[in-house]
Amino acid sequence: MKAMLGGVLLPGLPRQVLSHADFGPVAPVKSVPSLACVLSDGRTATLVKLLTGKTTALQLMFTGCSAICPIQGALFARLQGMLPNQLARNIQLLSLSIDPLSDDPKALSAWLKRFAARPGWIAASPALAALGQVTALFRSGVNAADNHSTQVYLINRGAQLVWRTSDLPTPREIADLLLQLV
Amino acid sequence: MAAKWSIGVAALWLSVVSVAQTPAESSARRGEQLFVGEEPLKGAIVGHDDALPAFASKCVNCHDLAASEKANYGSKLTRAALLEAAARRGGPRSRYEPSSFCRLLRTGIDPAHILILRAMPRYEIDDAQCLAIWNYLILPRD
Repeated sequence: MKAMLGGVLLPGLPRQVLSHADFGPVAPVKSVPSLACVLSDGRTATLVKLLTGKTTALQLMFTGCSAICPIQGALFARLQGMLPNQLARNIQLLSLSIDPLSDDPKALSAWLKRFAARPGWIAASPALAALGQVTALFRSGVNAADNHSTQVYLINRGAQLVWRTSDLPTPREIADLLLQLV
Repeated sequence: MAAKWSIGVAALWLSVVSVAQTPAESSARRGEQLFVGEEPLKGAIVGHDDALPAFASKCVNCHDLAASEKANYGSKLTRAALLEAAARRGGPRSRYEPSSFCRLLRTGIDPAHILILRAMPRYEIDDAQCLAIWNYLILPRD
């Protein structure tokens, strides 16, 4: 599984199938762009810096979304409870906003608080000018109404996107993928 | 004295009658509470072991009762949308009845036997709760 997560093709499936699939391994892996983000505590950092050295599960959300985002938040809350020694394993959860105009540090902080996030779960907003890069990288599985995906994206310690889950994966599925990727 | 007493009783009776609700009205009132989350509903995403927190599975999170043009994540749940025959999700024309409405809430299968989006939780809901939501949704609002 670890090799597969690194971009090695699944036996029997042609590269074209995998590279255009909406979910599963990302082949070839994609480097995350170095775009500026603001975090819930007010700090700024590039997305690459946030991701480098950690194994990350990333979800797209925005705090003003009342429909699917509460379900996504609940999913991450459940996931965090399934990750023993999360910090020691350098695993992090990242809720990345697609609404940088509204999601300032205060809103992001409230999001984390709402789901009783513990250390190891962070929230960030990209700079407005970088939003296009975010949606380009995580382009698949767009919902018409909320205009974002409910997939979870797995990123390795080298800040490379290596896996897209299906929509609304189970917390167990994400936990298993993370633990195998570590 | 007797006359005053009679008037008092009559006034009390009238005030009670004026605020008393029919069973359908009472059910619809409960339906509103369920719809907006004042009374929690237990729902889960298909394939997930655990129920969602109640705040994440409220009907009102995704559904609008108004026939406005505003886009919502879920279908508009107007009286007309439920009761009038229409093609939904690419299926044949169908309309909702209480039984098909409750089946959708529990299983995700609509009246035309088409499976709705997985993002809508499936609910553990009893007949009274389900009928209450139905009664609330089909209230005339215009």
